[in-house]
Amino acid sequence: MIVTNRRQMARLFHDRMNGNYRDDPNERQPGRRPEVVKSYLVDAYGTWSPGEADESPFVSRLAEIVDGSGLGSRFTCEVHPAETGDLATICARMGDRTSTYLHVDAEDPRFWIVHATATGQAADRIVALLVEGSTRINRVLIPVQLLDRVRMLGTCVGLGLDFDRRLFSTHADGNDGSRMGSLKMQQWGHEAGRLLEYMRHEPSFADRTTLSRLQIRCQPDGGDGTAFSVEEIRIDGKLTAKGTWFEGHANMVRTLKGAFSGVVGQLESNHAIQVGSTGDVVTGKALAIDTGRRIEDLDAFTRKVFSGARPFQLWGVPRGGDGLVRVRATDLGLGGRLDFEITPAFIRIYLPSTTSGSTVLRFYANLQRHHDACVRLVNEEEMDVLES
Amino acid sequence: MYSNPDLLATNLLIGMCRGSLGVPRVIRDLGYRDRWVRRCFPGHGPDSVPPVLAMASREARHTVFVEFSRGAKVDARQLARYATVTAAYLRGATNLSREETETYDIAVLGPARHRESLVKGLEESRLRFPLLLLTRAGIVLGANSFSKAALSKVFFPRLEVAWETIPRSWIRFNGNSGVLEVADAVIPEVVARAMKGDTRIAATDLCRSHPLWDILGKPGRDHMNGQVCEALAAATENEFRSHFDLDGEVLVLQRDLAADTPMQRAGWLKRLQQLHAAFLDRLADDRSARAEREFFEEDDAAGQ
Repeated sequence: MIVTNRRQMARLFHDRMNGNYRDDPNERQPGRRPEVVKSYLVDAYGTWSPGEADESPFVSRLAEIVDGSGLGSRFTCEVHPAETGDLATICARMGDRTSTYLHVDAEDPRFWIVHATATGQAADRIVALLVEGSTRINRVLIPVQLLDRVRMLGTCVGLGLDFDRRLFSTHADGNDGSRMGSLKMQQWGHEAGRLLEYMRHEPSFADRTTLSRLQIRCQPDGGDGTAFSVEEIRIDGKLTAKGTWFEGHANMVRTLKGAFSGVVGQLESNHAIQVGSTGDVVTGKALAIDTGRRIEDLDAFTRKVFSGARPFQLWGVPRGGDGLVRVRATDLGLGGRLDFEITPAFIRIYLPSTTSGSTVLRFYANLQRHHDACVRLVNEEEMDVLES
Repeated sequence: MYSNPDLLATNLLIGMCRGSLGVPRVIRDLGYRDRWVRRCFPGHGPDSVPPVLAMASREARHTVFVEFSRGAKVDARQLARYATVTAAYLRGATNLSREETETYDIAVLGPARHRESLVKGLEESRLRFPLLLLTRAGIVLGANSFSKAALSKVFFPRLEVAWETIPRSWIRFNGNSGVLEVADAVIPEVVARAMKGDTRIAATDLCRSHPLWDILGKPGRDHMNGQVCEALAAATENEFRSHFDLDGEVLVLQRDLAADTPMQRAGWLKRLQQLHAAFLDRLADDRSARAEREFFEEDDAAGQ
């Protein structure tokens, strides 16, 4: 269904969550069950030009992206602007099948939220097609510390851990000989949070307890329990909501977006390398990753990370020797450029002012998931960037 | 890895001022921060000489201007220019603050293997500028001292530096860089622009991504533009000839990535990665790449 403003969009999703299809005769079917609302956080760095007077309207930029994307090439797509200039509906249809609707909210012109009620896999596929083929927008990857922040916003009723070091393993079986190469676990119930804390403090598990998804139950202050949402929040910036309370989901999306954009803003304002306002200072404070577990094989590590493939999406040619490998890299996700210097114990990152800070967070979150859950992103004072 | 020892030292000093992980923090702890000073000398416009790297500290009320000596001799004319600088001039002509210019030094930085000739050059100039020598083990104060004893102490007996892991990316290439350093920096920039759908990329656009571009005067910019054109020519004439053309000072990509499917694009990027590695390997065989290794040769006896 095409929406014309945010109020209508909120009502639509509220109705879908509650199994109410009164506004849409095409969707009205007897016995139809309530739907799950899905929202995806997207970095629109490549469309974002703060302060530029000739910036084209959001809807034109979105239409260009759709045209050049995998979505535009496989589906018949129409982009319908809402009354406000920062909201639009993409109506995508393949052949005679039912249309799928994506609602793209660019209230924050830098970080868009894409909402959908299509079934989980279909929505995932359509959003993947939308960002594919364009370096103007990309899905985000969320560091564990930010998931921990939103964990406190409700009652944690489930979580998933996903750590997989086999990506870097040089052993045929994917394990490193002495320690477990992967750890995947799902835990449901109110004790999930306690179990996570226990594992984080247990030395034999600490470096593998990478939180990858959370389930949080939220309800309004003083509510009687009839209005609630159960949120599932994933490391890849996808949030799904079941329950009866869309506003709870909208709050969760806003909070996660705010936390993520806050860290990205901090990276871009403190660490991006550029000429300062006085003209004689090249600004950009040092930024590094303490790798925790040492990188034993720099050659294999850098070849994997900078191959251009997912999950890192970084392209480059590693140069150097045993002590330090330097890579002038290109981010294939958002088209920016950045430099890395990689030693067994730490990685220096140089972020140009023309590259999105979320590229750094994607690299960092991937290390949390594939190298060591305890890697630290540190600033020039060797303080944790994500805890300041 | 590098043809250019003064770039190595520049990145080390910047890294020490900015808190790069893995390098000594003592200079940063004294409050020194890196600055680029354009109008350093009375009677010279900002375009007439390249910007000078300085380390300025409000806390220490002190600025150190760094003069790199690549060879065995000091640049007597350049040192004589520094001798004309006064605190009042610096306050008026640069963005350095009153506190930062209360005292200042000009440090000559050179390879330890040229210690004798550098000391002699300084003596002949009658200028008592501190001489910092780069040795395999770190940096030592080879002659004279800073006006701030605390800074002199930093280099006694030496400021230990693990050269293998020093920062190398604050400034990716400078005016003395060979084709290898320039190409290493520029080709990834080309790929980034290709990913955004650009098919014609001007050399000056690539220069603009250099952090010092805005600080350089016209001669410096022309020189950098020339360096980038030379690197692009080396690429288009050899490894990348079936992918790039050079139209004057504009690089022309022979395919439009925006029109490619993700699969086609991935294939192109893989191929480009192999070509770029081969390109850099070939350039690294050039004579200039030996300079870094030679920089520290025979320095142990001289610098210890």
